[in-house]
Amino acid sequence: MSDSIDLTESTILIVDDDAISIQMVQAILEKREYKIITAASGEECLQKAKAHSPDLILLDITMPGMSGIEVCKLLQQDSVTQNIPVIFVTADTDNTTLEEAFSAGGMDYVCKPINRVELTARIDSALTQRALGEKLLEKEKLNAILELAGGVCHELNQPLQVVSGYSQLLLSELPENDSRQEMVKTMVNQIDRIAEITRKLMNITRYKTRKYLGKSKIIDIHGASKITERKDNQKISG
Amino acid sequence: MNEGDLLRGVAMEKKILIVDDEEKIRVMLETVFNKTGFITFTAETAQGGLDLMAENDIKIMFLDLKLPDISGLELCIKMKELDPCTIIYALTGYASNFDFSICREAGFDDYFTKPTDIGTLRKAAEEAFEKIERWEEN
Repeated sequence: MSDSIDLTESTILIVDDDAISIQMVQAILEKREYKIITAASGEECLQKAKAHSPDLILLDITMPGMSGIEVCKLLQQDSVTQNIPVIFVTADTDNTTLEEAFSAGGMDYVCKPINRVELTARIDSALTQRALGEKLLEKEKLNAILELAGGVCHELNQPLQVVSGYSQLLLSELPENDSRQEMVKTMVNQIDRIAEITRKLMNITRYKTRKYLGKSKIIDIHGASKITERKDNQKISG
Repeated sequence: MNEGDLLRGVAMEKKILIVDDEEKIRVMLETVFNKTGFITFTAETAQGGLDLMAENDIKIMFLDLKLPDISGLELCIKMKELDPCTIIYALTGYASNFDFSICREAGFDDYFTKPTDIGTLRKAAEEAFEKIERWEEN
């Protein structure tokens, strides 16, 4: 797993009822290769956040209709958007406003008029934190999977060895023209297939899932394992 | 098998030791090896394995890594200390690159993960026997 974090592909949602403010922020962020989405109201922010899952939201506090604080609270309530870091943009830096902002779930804030250096630094910080958090989560998920896979495989491999041994022995003892040869050969091959699965499970190196039924997902064993081909030293012999 | 082999077979019995805490594995491997002319001894514990090795002068072993008393790794180290002219194989239910190098450090001559084809195990046993024979001749 690479330790470096690449922030260039990040998506940022800028929310402000004032189009000029949005343009100013876009100008500041121009040099970075972020993908920018914009929203002019709280409602639009909620809708776009759900639709695009941005990596960061720059949220103006003072907007007509739904305020930035209210928007942030609603973002927190939705499982799709609750983990997106929010940086408030505000002209009011009194304690009451700041307290409200942080308790609504905001991660940070920048003051209006926006300082270029401050904005980019805080954005970088928030994005890095998010990326690190995701990496950590993935690492933890992977560790949990490896622990489970190891335990399961160890248990499965024991009876598998017994069944594998006896079925190969049986195959070697059946006369060549015995009609049961095919059945036993199939058994031997299918056991081999199970063995391949446990080998792949024990060599999972990344967290990769695939769709199963409906919305549920399962681990994609073949995609997640570092074993991509069948090992040839395990050919069937009598 | 040629005449030389037959003569040697009389002089030196093809003894093999399996140490595994699972009965079904011991019985299956005993059946597999006995059918190819080996005399197979089995033990459920590391201590049982050490006792059989001493009593019967066994030179070829297959050890599971997970045993009830001491680990297969420690057992291998002990066995090699008692008799360096042995060939000891690991036959274990779990595999990772990490395990393999640790096994080599403990003195294992090779390492197999369950399930291994019986042909592979038999070949390993035969090769071990050939080596031991050669060492005994010198």
